Amino acid sequence: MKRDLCLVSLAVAIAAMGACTKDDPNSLLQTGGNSGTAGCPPTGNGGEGGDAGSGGDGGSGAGNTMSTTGEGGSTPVEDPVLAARKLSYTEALRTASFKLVGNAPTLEEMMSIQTLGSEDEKKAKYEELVDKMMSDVRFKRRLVEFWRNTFRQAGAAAGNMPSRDTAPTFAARIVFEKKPFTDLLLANTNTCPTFNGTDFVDGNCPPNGPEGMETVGILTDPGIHAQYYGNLAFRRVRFFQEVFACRKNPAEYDPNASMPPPIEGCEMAQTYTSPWDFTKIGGHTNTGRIDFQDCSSVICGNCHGTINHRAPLLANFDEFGKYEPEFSVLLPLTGTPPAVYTDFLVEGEPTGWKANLPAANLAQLGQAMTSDEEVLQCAVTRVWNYAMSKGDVVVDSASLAPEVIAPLVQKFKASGYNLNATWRDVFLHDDFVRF
Amino acid sequence: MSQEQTPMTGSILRQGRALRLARFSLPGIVFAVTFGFAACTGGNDPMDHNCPTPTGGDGGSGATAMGGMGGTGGQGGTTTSSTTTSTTTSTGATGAGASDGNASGNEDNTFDHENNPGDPFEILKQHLEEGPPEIRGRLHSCQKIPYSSLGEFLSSRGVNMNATVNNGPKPAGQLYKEGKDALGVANYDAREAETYFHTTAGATKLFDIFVQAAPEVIANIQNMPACQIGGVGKPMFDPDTNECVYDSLSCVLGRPAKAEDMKLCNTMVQHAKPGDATDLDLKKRITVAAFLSAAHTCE
Repeated sequence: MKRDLCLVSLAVAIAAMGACTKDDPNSLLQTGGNSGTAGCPPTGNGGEGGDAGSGGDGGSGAGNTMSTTGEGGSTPVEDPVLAARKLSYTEALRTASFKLVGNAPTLEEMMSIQTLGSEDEKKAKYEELVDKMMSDVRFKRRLVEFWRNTFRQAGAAAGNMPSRDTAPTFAARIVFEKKPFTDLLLANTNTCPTFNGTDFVDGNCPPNGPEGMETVGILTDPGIHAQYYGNLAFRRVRFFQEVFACRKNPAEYDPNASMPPPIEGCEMAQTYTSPWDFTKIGGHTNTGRIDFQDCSSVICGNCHGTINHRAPLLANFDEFGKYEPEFSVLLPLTGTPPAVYTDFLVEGEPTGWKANLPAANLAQLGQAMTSDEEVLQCAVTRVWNYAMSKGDVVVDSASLAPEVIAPLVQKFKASGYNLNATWRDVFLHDDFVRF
Repeated sequence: MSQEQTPMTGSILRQGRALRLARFSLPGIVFAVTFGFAACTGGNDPMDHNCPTPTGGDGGSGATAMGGMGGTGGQGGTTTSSTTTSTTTSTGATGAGASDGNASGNEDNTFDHENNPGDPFEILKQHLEEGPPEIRGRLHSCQKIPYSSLGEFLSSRGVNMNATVNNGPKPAGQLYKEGKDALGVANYDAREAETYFHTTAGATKLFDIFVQAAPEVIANIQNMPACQIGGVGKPMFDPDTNECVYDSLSCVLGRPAKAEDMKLCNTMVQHAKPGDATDLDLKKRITVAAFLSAAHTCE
């Protein structure tokens, strides 16, 4: 019976995917409610009042109920899987302890909960222990490790290579010291702190460009630009997309994208889905030396519509992460010439984070990113996934239904982007303490 | 040992991806318990009646006590081990030994586990099987304990992480230090983070470490501050009755032991051959190793 239900669910999901006329790869990864998949139905649910509707945002933290959306409206029902979980503050303590301080709890900590009589007392003690762990120096270490893994970089400076520790350390410090998460993309001082195993130590990034060049959070971090150096700065674009938007490319998906005018030799077999003007992307109809307008197999522009509008902002950093007056990334052509603006976009086409979030420079890029709902949601998603052992949202395809964390995202924004508070909220969450 | 009979894994098995990852732990538990009951003392005594005897097979790849690892052709080996208290029969997989992309075996033997994940479409299929995202996202999954945390944990439970030997079985600390790659440490130069999930090799290495850690835990847990209350610790096993000590088992598990844990722990030790101190010691080791494996396959 269970197997049959699985097969039916799978069939519905596959049918739903098949019915989606847009070929956004992220539609496979995303769930309902994301603007980026507006043309695709939520995966495997909804419909005519099946087991799991996609409506409502009352899921997380609200016990074991969820909304089932059908033609007859929305009715809260108890989900049997969620209802089968058992509340256990001692089990939660074990998991939280490993995740927050990198070790199992001590026997005394375990028993300090176990010996209490009521669930309320146990909950209060558990909260006390979570707070204690989050003020422990070992939590700093875990945060540094968490961000190293998130950024997929670490390592001290060596030779011409800058430190690749500074960005994850800066991120860890922001969380631990309850500073706004947005500082990560906006701060203009002390963005290259160090961590001595016990304390964070102030530090500005080494001179990394022309005199007077403004520091913009980790957007100007030399370690990141060195770590993700590559042709046309596309590796850097991918880094910021995946780490901060929690999605693979295509970063944007517009089901109502304007199809380009007919282009000779380019009869599109599939639909153009980027919100950017196809004709402004570097390619064979203009002076671009690489044909991002190619559509002989896949529609390159579906991803490069966004990629090419971001890359020029990151292309001045050389292989050692130093900002140069001219573009310092190369083209994968014979002789590997340096890239120029028209390789990405036609002259005069402005850059941006998204089609509706223009950015003419790195400072504006930081502003655009921090005003992007997707980026804010991503920050919370990463904390949730870490706590709930889901793996990396992108690398492990661990996408999360937005409604699961919607209240947390709201609270995160209302708190002034205090991600430390989000960590605490997640580890005290009703879902976290149930197994 | 069914899933229902194993409270340590019971909660895991109800949940999403945990179901898949728990398959890593189950072979280890079954493996450990089978050894615990069978009390095969290794290769020193070929006549040891407790050592399972591979009966071979056309495929020729039946591995001792693990069933066939899946030959490249023909029939996998069949291994049977019987004692007065338990009988386990494990049959090597036929042919390639794999089913549904798994590494070896099938659901009828003791070494059925998923091969290293990687194909994103396989992951997506798995997600669909786990349930709708609104539900799946609210359930704990099974992430491995990070490498650094594993070291901290073992050390805090009495394992000498700096121990090395030149010959003979390597101690847990040495296996740990030499097993970085298998355990999935980061390779930042390649822009790779530490893996969040076990590979088959990583899970196997973890169980190896736990097996070797067990005697050190038994010897030292009483003196470890993390396992003391008010500065006073207790032994892993009662010196008079050889029964498992609640506080120490809890400290091994990382959470208060349940009645079922205590029962299982004592049951395993009680299967030692009467009057055989060596066998009793082995039973204790395998008991601790089994609990470590079951409790700490997932973070």
